[in-house]
Amino acid sequence: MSECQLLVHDEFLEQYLRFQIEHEDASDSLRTQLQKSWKDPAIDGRLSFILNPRLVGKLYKLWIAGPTGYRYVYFHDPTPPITLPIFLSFEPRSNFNWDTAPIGDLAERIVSDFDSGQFDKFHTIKSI
Amino acid sequence: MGQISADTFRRVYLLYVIGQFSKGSYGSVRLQKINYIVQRNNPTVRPFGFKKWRHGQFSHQLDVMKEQLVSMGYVGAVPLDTAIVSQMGDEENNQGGNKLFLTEFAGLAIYFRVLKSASPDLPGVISQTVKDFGYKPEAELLDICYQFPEFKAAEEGQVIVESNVSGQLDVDLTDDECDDLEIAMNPKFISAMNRLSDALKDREVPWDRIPELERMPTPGTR
Repeated sequence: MSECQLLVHDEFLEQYLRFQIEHEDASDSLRTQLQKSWKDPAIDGRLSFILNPRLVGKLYKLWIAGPTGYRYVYFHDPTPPITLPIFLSFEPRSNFNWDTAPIGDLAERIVSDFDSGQFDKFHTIKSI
Repeated sequence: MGQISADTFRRVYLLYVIGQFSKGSYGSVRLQKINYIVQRNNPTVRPFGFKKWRHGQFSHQLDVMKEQLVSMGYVGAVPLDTAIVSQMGDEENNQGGNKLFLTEFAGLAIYFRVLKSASPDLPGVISQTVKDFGYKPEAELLDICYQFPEFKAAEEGQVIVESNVSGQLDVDLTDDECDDLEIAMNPKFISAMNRLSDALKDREVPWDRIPELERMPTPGTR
């Protein structure tokens, strides 16, 4: 099996930077979880209730700074192995509201760029 | 006890209703009418508002959510045997409607728990309504719906029933289950992920066209 590629879109890079600025104390945990989604992508955090056969086993959520902290949602396809980070939440779990979370809009923009071949907006990463 | 949003509740509700049709729901009109009768039979929980339109009781919100569930891949839609399907270039023109069915039934247990939290009788009312009315000939079903007094009394375009579901709803699921359910029922997110999954299946990623970063950025390095 080839090594998993971490494919990061500009939208996620912006989130990643903003998160470190707003939550400096959780930055180490962010890096740890990003690394995990790259090197051990399918170990933990598999989303429940994804019943669409095309997506089963491809969507994951990890917690940053523990289960009362912040969400990190990513897509992982095992063949060929690739991890695409999608969404970070900036509010702790107690203040978070899915009604206003932009996860859908972010996912649409990332996938639209992929669909339309705008690969200059994506990056591979040598090291976290 | 966790909480889910009203729209997630609506999607779960609709999936549960569709899941009660053992052979699928024959057409959108039928699905509209069955949902209307369910709400009439259990008025304590009314996820969808209905207006009086030319073809009877109609909920625009239900129609939109049904399309979202199809696009998310949770509901399958195939032309009815009676439908007339023509091809216009790449586009298929279906006059006569689709059979709607769940693509995967494993979620019904969790949908049941969600609906039961809102009203203990609700799952049973849905099952019984689908059993009693779900496979009646369409003309007979329409006739039943047209005879409801509130429908006869309304003008075309007038609201017959208003939704009473809004905000956040308490449900008998853990916080973690609620969290995952919100993501699983997000139509934009799931539809985008479907497209991504298909795109990766259909073509190779042109790695040579993707710029490489030495490392992820930190504040001050970008």
